[in-house]
Amino acid sequence: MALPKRIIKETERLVADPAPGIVAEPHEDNLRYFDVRIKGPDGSPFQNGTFHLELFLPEEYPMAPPKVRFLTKIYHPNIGARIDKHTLTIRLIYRFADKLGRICLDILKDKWSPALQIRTVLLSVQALLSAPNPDDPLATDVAKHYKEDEKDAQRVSREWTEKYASG
Amino acid sequence: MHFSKSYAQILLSLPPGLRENAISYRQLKKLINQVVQELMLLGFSPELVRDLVKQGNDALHSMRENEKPEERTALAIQSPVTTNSGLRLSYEVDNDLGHLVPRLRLIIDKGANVDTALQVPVLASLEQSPADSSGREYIIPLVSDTAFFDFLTSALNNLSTQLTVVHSQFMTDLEDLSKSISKRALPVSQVDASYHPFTPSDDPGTITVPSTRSAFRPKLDDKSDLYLWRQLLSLYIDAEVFDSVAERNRGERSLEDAELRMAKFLERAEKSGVLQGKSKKANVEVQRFFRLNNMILNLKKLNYASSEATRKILKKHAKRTALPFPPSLPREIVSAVGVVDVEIPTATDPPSTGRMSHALIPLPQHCASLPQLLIQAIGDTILPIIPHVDDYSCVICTSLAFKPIRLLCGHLFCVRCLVKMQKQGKPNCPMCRSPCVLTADRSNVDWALMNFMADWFPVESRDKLRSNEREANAELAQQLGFDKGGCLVM
Repeated sequence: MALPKRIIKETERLVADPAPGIVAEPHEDNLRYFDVRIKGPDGSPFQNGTFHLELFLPEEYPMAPPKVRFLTKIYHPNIGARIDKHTLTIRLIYRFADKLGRICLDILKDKWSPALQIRTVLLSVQALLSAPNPDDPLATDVAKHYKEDEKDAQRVSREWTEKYASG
Repeated sequence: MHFSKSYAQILLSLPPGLRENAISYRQLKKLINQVVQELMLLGFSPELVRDLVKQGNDALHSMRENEKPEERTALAIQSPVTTNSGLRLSYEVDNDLGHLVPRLRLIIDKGANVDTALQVPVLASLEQSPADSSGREYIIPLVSDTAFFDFLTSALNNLSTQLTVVHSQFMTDLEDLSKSISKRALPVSQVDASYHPFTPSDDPGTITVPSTRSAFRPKLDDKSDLYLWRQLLSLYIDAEVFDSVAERNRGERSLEDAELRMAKFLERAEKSGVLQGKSKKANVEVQRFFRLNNMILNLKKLNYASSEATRKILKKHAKRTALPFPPSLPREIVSAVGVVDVEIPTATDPPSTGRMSHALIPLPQHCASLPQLLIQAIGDTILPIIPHVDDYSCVICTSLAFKPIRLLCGHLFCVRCLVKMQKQGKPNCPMCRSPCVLTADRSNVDWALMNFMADWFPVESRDKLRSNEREANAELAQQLGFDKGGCLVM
């Protein structure tokens, strides 16, 4: 099916006028699938990290929200830790892994509005890195850690950033 | 390349009308030579002055601290210099209503042995000004330096006067062009006798763009330049010749960048065919539009060249004479003239910079430069003549919001997107989340806007209506069990 005008327009703008710290490029063979890289915001435990995400626009987009998930491991109360895709039973685990690395962000679920865009979604994800919300957790253990000892949790976040998101 | 050479080249590339009042850089350079000669005659060689500056910096600080604020107001600008030998030298530039009068003030403390410290032939012939208790004080007028500043300020003033003329001429041209375009870029209702507006008594469901209208593209093209200008201006906006609206480098573009973009815009316009207009009149107008934009480009060049010339000549002045450059002087000159945007050169004695300018000069408000004003004028005058489709599009599908439905909350969407939302049972307005989607019905059609769109966007509204129908039919077929493949499941 032909790509809707809206997706073409959004893609053009994303490429021509990218938001600071965010790169989003469509796959050549599937223009609904985007490779995304978000720079960890300065002043957050994710500073200096570059996080790889994937974004997919379902058939119903923009009536339905884009599907976004982290591919880079990240220690964040609102982002699920992801199991490496490239383990032994690739096919089996792939479906499972799909559920992980996902993001707890209301606008990606019930608060989605068709007036939102890829750009605004990615900006929201970037903002989530600056302002973790342990009261609405996806990764409960990380959230607990953040609530009980924020400093130590941030230290782990920094460690993970250095280990998985630098380079 | 040497600046005076590249400056001359830039000026040569400008139309004669613009370059005739440009600052004469060569003349100013000659005047600086005369200043140096005069200083030599007075006994202040550049080396000596530089020496005095170097030695004097520390003393200068302690002196500043003790200075009372009201004493300072008497002098416009002051850069005092003291030496260990009990000698203080200051370079002052008095601002007498925009007339800058430079002079040297030499203070010799009691007991200082002047003659061994320096040979100043002029001292003997100088009258002694009222000496204070600490020693003697001399004021040495600098004739050739006064000539230098006179020349510079009057050059800047001439430039400013000329730019005022250019400005008003540009505005007249622009007004004229905009009137001329308005007369030619007409909506359908002005050129198609069969046009009649929709009314609320029509059934919005049955509204189609009539077949006579689907044929009005050629008709419209004969009688109206609407789509010619729509296309040209849309290319112009996309080219972002003078200003960037991108998130990373928002703001005014550099001269080189603007020139490149202007060339690219011209190339695109040529390719799109709008330049081979259908009528002579249209061609003339398009040429005028390009001329006005080139004018801005030239003014940008002149602006750049003039501010560079001013900056460089002041820098040269400071270097050749070694007179401590009063940091607020360029501001002083610029504020007297108020046209050329001069970057403030770093003063020769950095420690005093901040203090001086704050203490002495209320900094002039940064006003937009002339090219910026003219760019804005084009945006204010020409662009609104042709309604832009982005201002009338649905945020969901990004096409023209035809037929336009206005929700109770005031937000506008196209009928197709709202039907989809209703079918999916989504109750909230996409813009403000107020629950008014499900109650929307034919009473929410914005008739006035619908007529406006059909009038000014005949092609877009026809296309949108067709694609709406296509999409609705496809949806219906799917609901009835016809698959996209055309296979019927019984």
